[in-house]
Amino acid sequence: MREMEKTERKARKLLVASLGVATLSYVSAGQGCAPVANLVAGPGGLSDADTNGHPNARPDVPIANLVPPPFDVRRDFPVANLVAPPIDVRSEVIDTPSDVSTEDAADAPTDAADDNPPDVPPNRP
Amino acid sequence: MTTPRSSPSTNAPAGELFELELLGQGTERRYRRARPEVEAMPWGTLDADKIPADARIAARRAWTAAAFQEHRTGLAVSAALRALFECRAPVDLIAMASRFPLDELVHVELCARMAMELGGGTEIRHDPDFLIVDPDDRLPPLLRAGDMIVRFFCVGEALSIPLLRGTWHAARHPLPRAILGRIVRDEAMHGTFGFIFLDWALPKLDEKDREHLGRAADSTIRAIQRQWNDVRANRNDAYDESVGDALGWMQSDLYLVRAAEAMESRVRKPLRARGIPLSA
Repeated sequence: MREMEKTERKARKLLVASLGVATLSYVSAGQGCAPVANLVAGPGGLSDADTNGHPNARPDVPIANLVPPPFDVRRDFPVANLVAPPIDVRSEVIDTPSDVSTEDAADAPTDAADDNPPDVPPNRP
Repeated sequence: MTTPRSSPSTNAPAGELFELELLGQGTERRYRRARPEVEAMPWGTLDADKIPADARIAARRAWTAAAFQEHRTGLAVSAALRALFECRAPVDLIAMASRFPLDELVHVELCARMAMELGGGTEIRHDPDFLIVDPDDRLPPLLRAGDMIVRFFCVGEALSIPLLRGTWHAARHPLPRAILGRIVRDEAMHGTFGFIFLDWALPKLDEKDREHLGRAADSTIRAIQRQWNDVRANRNDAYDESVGDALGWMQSDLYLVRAAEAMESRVRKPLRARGIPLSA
C-alpha cells in the first residue's frame, strides 16, 4: 500500500487578538457573556421580526465604521502614492499544487479605478 | 434556545475569538496577484509608539471591530450571491455581485493589518452561527434574494458610501487614508448594486412582496437607528489630537449628521421611489 504523502499546510496568523484588551462581545446577552466596553449597540429588546426568529442573530446590517470614535475632520492631507509591487511569476509556479491552474489571476479586478467616486484618486499609476 | 459555542472550560467566555490566518505560499501569492493593492499600502509608516496608550488601545479596538464588521459583510454579500444564483438572476448581474466577497475579504485584511500595525487586535467574541440574519427559507428564491439585498445593499451598503467617504476625508495619516480610500472605491459599486437588482426584480414581484421588502428595510433601519442612539448617548465631542492619526475616523457629531442625511437621501428616497413602503 502506498504511503500517504504529507500534505499538511500550516497557516500563519494575520490578526492576533490580545485577550482581555478592550473586549467586545457580539454574543447575545443572556448567553453567559455580558458585553464589555461594547461600542456597538447590542441586540437587546428585539422582536422576532427583527431577527427572523433567530435568538442570537444581529438584525443590523454589517457596515464597517458604523460607530465612530472621536476624531477631527480635515480634507487637505495628501494621499499616499501607492504602487503595486512586481509579481514574481516564477516563484508562483514553483510551489503551486499540480492540480491548480496558474492562470487564475487573469481576471484580477483591474477595473476598480473605473468606478471611483469622483473625489477618490486611483491608487496605482 | 441555541447556546453559543465556547471552550470546554466552564470559566471561558461565551463565543469564539475573532482572529484571522493566511495560508501563505502559492495560495497567498495568487490572492496578492488578484488584489495587489493590499501589499501596496504604506505599511510600516505609522509610528505607534508616539500614540498615547489609551488612544492606541481605542484605535486597536476600532480597527479590529472594523475588520470584524467587514468579515460580517463578506458573509452577507456571499449569502446574497447564493440567492442570486437560486433566483436565476441575469448572468451579468450575478457576475457583478461575484466580485463583492473578494472586495470584503480585502477590507477584512486591510483593517486587521491596521490593527496589527497599532500593536495587535483586541478581543472580540462572537457567535459564528449568527453573524447575519438569514431570510425565511419558506420565501420563494426571488423574494429571498430581495430580502437580503434590500437589507445588505439598499440599506447597509448604500448608507455606507457617504459615511465611508467622510471618514476617508477625515483620515490624515497616509496609511489609514490609503486603506479607507480603497474601501470607499469598492463600496461605491456595492452601494448602487442593490438598486440595480431592484430595478430588475420589482416588475416580477407583487404588492405583498413589496410590503415584505419594506418590512425588511424597516427592521434594518431601526437596528441602525438604535446604534446611532447609542453613539449619540456616548459621543465624545472633545477633539483629541493624539488620537487622530491612529483612528482616522470622523468625529461623532459630524458622523451622526452625515448618517441621518444619508439614510434619507441614499436609502429611504430611492426605496420609496421604487414603490417600497417604509415606516421606519
